[in-house]
This record gives sequence, C-alpha cells and structure tokens, in this order.
Amino acid sequence: MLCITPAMAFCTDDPNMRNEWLTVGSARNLHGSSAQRPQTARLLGENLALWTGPDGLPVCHGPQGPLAVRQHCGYLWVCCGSTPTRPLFVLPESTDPARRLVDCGGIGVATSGLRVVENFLDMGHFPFVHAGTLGQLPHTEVLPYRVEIDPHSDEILATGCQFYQPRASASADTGLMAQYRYRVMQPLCAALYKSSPGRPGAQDVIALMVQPLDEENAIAHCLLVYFEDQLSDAALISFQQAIFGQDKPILENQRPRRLPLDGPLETHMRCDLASVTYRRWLKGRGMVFGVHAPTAAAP
Amino acid sequence: MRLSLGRIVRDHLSCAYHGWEYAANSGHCVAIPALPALPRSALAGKVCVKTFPVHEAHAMVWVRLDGDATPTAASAVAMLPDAATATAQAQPRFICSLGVYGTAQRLQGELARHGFVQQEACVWHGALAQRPVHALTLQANHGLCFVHLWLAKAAGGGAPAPLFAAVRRLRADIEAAAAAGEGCSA
Repeated sequence: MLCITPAMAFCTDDPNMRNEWLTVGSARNLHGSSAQRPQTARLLGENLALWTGPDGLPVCHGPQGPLAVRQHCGYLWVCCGSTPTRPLFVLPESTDPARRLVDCGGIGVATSGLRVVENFLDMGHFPFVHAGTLGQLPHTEVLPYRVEIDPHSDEILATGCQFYQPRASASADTGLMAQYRYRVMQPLCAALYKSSPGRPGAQDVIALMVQPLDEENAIAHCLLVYFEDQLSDAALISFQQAIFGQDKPILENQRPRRLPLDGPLETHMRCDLASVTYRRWLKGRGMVFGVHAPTAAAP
Repeated sequence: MRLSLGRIVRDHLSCAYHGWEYAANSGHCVAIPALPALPRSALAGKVCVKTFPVHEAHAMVWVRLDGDATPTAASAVAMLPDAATATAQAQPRFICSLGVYGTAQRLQGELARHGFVQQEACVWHGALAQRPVHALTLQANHGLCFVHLWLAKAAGGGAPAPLFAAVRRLRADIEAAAAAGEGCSA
C-alpha cells in the first residue's frame, strides 16, 4: 500500500546550506529549456526544475514552489531557503576581457562535498595522487604558509603556498616551484590562484564549486579563468579532468564519508594548516550538513 | 583514508593519500613526507594505527580481530582436524579459495547436501573427486562468502584436474541453490 505523508522539502535544515547560494551547474544547461521542457538538477536531496523565463532570466522551481535563482560567473545558483545570509562571492577576474573562462564540467563524487573542498586546499597529496603533474617524489615537503580569515568577508585566505611541480599546468613542460594562493568563499566554494604561464606576474584562477546532491554525494564543478591563448578548451579541460579523475577514488575511499570536525578521528600536522582552519571555520559556523556526527558510544 | 589502498615502502605501510608511513607490529607512524625534517623521535608513537595479531598456517594468513594474540589462540588456528596430529608429509594441502555469492547458511546447506559433515562452527569435512577434503566457510559481507578448501591428506601429489572440476561444480551448485532460494517468497 502506498502511504503518502507530507513531504519535508530538502534533506537538511542546516542554515549553512538552506540560506546559501548553491550551484547547480553551468548556465549553458538552460539552452533550449522552457517551462514545458525544463532542465532538472538535484540539490539537497530534491529534484529542481530550471528554465529560461520569457525575460531571459533563469527560473527555478523546487518541491514546494519557486526558488530564488541567479546566474553568476557562467553558473546557476539557487537558494533553497528564504534569503541568503551572504551575497554571492565576487570573482573580479571572471569579467576581465583578457581572460578565458573555461567550464570544465561537473564530475560526480560519492562523498561529502566538504571533503571535496578540503582536498582542493591540500598540497601534501600532490606527489602521491598527482605524480608527474602537480607533484613528484621525492619533492614531498610542504613548506610553512600563512592562513587567515578575512574579517569583512569571513573568507579563508591561504597565502605564501609553494610546492615543487614537474608539470604545473597544461602548458608547462618543465618543473618549477609553483606559487599558490587559496581562498574559501563558502563551505562548498573555493578558488586557487597560481602563477600564470601565459602572463608572467599575473595569476590564473581555478574555481571549485561543489553542488551538494545530499550529505554523501556531490558534483564538483570546475571553472578556469586563465590568461592562455595557445591551448584549446579541450586540452585545458582534459588536464583538469585528469587531475580530478585521480582525486575521485581517493575522496571516495575516505572514511567516514562525512567530514569529522571534532576530535581524534583524523590526525593533522602543521602541513595541514589550510585543512585545520577550514574545519574550525565550519565548526564556528555550526555546520552539520555533510559533517560526521559521532555516535554516543564513540571513543 | 583506507590503508588497504596503501603500498609497502621500505617495509612500512604507506598511505595512498599523503604517503604517511606506518611500521609493522607497532602500527606507529614513522614518517610524514610533507615534513621530511621531522625527526622520528618527535613522532614517538603519537600517531598510531590499530594492529591485529596475525599467524601463518596451512598456506593462509589468519587474523584475530578480537586482538587475542595468546599462543593457544594461535594453535586454535590449526582447526583443520588432521593438522594437529599429522606428520609433516601428511599435512593438509591447500587447494584454493572460492568466492561464492550467497549466505553462509545457504553455503553450508549445500555442503551438507554434497555429503560434507560439520566438525566445528565453520569447518566441514567431505570429499571431492573421491579425495578427502576440509572446507572452511566464512561470510565476507552480505551476499558474499568464501569457502577455503584443503586436501585432508596431501600425500600422493598435487591437486589433479578432476579435483578442480569438482570444486567448480560445487560452486555452481551453491550459487544455483542461492539463486533459487532468492526466487522463493519468505
């Protein structure tokens, strides 16, 4: 017998997710869509319908009616609550006409989106997971770097990061000490700034925007904002997807699947400063979505 | 990160994620590649993974998940009935391990149907291709079991082709019974 109960919309009440702009992928997905033939996207355990309205602006409907939706940096952003706590992050480089914007597509990962972001901030895995490109044995040292939280934007900023890379980008053919900066704009959005081979003195941007399907499943979207005019989009996308293809099995084999914010379950050292700061920052925001909740009997 | 995805480096277990190295027996972390200047003494057992006692016997590795490493626990590993009294030449000879879809219950029911007799909880004695055989059954996860098979008395040479053919028929019969069982309503 089919039992119908009132549906609780979305799989979480966590205001960090409900009152935040969350991405559902590239705005180009709306090409050819209409109210009669909407695009669908999954977010926080629900299926959403999205289409381009008569005024050319995106429209989104969730399980209980219309939801606020915006286009930003070429992606669609939806708020599954009443009002977002913070405005969408700024990415000034994305409107620089001298730069290329390349959408590398979304890749599904069977883990908490928080783990995907934390891995993006980590350099220690480069020689082990991305051997030959972002890292190479025996160059495993993570030199000290700085991490702070911007008091105005409440974003995490990591500066002075450097790591030996045999092939730091699609256009690199020699090894060098890559200089990195990291920025965490939202629990599920981060950006990495690295020295641009196409414009010495400037920085290329790689933005990671994670779409939370539920607490243990996500789609990782990647946007490149590059000074680069030699390589095709396909070559740039291929490089990024190869990198992420190496991260995916590692991410999917981390246990517990949800990110622990407390206690001795996972050990950190000073080389993990960005990860440690990210977890403390999440804890400070009262994050529960995608977070490992220890059982009462846990040691 | 699951250490089962790690690799062995310099006799240490190295994690696939950041390459942290763990020593055998103690389970102590002895190297953190991101901090190459960190002396081993600084780690001094502060970072440790859980270890379990292991024992090798009858061509297999045995583990005590309850951590009991006492010698009597190790001798209990020799649960194959002939092993305790057999001379070196007449020790049980390992044949193979089978992965079988089904529950341990279904598996044991099929062993009984093939004339195997239960001697201890998971230990059965029977015959395949007219040779005396021991079977050890273990449930790996829901729906997957292992049957480990030994010739009870190996004297007289290795396992000939008819023995392996009999092993394959045994597995086919077990899985057919499991599939038929799933088709029935409870």
